[in-house]
Amino acid sequence: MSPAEPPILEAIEISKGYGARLALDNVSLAVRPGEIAGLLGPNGAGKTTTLSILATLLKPDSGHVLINGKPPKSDPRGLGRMLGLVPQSLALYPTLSAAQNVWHFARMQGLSRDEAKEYCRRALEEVGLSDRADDPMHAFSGGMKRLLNLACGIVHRPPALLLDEPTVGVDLQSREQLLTRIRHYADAGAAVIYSTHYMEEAERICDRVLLIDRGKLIAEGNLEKVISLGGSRPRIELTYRGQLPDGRFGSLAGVREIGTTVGEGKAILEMNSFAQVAEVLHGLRTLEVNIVDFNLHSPNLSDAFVALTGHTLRDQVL
Amino acid sequence: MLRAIWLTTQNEARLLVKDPIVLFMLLFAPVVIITVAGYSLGSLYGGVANSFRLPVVDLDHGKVAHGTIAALRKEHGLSLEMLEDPDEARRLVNRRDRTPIAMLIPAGTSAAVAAGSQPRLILFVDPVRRVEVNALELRIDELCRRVTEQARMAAQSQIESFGSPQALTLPGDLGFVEHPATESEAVTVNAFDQYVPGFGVTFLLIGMMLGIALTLFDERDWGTLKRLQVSGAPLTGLLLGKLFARFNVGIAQMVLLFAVGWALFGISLGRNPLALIIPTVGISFAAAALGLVVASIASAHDSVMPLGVTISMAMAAIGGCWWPLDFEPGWMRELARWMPTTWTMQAFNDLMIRNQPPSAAFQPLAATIGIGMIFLGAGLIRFLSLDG
Repeated sequence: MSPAEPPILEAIEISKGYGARLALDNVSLAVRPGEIAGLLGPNGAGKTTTLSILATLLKPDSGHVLINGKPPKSDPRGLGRMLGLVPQSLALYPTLSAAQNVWHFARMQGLSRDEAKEYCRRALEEVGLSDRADDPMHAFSGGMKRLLNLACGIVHRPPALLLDEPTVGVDLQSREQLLTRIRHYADAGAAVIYSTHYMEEAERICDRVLLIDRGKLIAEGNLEKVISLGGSRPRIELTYRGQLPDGRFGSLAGVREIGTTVGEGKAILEMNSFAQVAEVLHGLRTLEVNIVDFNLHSPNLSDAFVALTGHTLRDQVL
Repeated sequence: MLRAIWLTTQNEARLLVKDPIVLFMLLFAPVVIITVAGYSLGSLYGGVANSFRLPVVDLDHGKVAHGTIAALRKEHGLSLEMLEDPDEARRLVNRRDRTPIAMLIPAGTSAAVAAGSQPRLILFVDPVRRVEVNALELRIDELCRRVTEQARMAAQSQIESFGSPQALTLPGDLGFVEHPATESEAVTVNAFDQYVPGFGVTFLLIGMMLGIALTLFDERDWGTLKRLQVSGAPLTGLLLGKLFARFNVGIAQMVLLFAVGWALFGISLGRNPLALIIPTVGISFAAAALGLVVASIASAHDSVMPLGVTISMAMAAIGGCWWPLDFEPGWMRELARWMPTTWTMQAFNDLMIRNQPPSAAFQPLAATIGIGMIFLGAGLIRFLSLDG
């Protein structure tokens, strides 16, 4: 990925309302080749609406979309070859086999028979379903269905891939597989938009994140930048036994107490950096705090989201 | 437990109210079918019979002819149309224009009655409308008896006034003989000739409505329709592809039914069995297009079944798939003109029972395709406005 490369997918000041509710408010974004841009936000934030507009399934009320620098209407058939969509629902035919599903979408994307044959084989191989190619989709596990869903979205090797919560309801192992395949696909030069409300997934594979909330883009940039926008610092989460000294942790230099539950023996201290950990633990011993366990917590996207919006990321429905 | 039952009941009621089409159909569907059946079959159970036009060709011009025509004019529900040409009378019956039967009074009928012979009126009949023909023939038979009786009474009074019975002959019996109105050779009508195409069309409609409408809802629910739209394929193309596949299935279904009907029930396949493809193509097209209309107006997956079945059954019944169209009252026959089933059944009857040439199916085909095009246009506009 290079910032010098022109974006494959661009949304310029798009807005969309459903009746009186504004689902998207003047959102702009751009994704370049080789880049995974994470579209993060709680349920109802406007992620699916953004993806639907980028996929040209929905018309924005204002603003416009450019695909490879051109408006989608200029070449609807060419658009099909440019875009791949992996929707949140399993957009598959349950009674067809894996191979038949991939084949149908490959042919609909405009691939010739010969191309489709080769591309289908490769797509199934990439998601690890070659040996189950002839099995009907309904006989697959949840994780395998998700992998097949991905295969159908990438079978025609689109330069731009839109993924809408592709790991919902998937076990850990399948999630790992999916994330690895998506990363590989981007590394091969595709521009990927990855919509999710799982921050850890975004931290794991996204090069850049776009935080969206109530239809507005509230932060954008690489992980470090967005996390720093939240202003959070490293934390040490303590579990202690017994009593805390008078004045609690006030005597520890460079440390701020941000949460203590005395009854449960829990305390959270914010530090300037992880370099302070040894010093803080030593200070706690000096204060005769009986520490039984501690966890270090790096500032992450969830912290940034809370800091920027005032509410948590998960289970937030507008 | 009771709480669960109560809450579930409340929720089901809410769901029903939120889906007015299902609610409407649940209440309305039986009313539609009962209305159609009641009006159509009402005359079989003593209701007011339909009125018929009766073309009469009088080549006799004698007393018996005048008596017969006068008696016919007094018959309730018959409107006489006097013609000069027997071929024109046959043509009127063949044109199926409220005329299941035409009467020819042959030259010399009056003289033959007077001479004590047994002359026969000739009735040109439409074999497809056997039930109506039988009903009319009963009335004509009764009328012949009355005319004969009158002739006998007149002869009797003459005998009495002349006082020499030997000089006069008692009039003979007037009767009738039936001729098929079709110019081709006589056909033997088999009930399956009506029921195989009739119920075939009914199930074609139901299958098509459910097949197309339900699979379109499935594709919406699965998300495959959206994924295909992203491929750049026009939604119109996707819909027409689906309709074309089902259209072919519809044709195969009808061909199979005719083959089974022929093998098991000995139905007539007409002069040229291949000609049956003509109405089959028309109804498969119209039914597929109607399936799209149902898909575009049903509010949810669960609405498709009641909506589709009600429309199919009503359309089949009104269109003459279950009983002859002429059983129906005038307003329903007018309504039937706008149904593809009506034209399709007319074509099947023409080809299979009336033994007409393939060209007889061209006009019904044009009408069916025309109605199908209206369905297709409406369905596409509505569907594209929802998903386009």
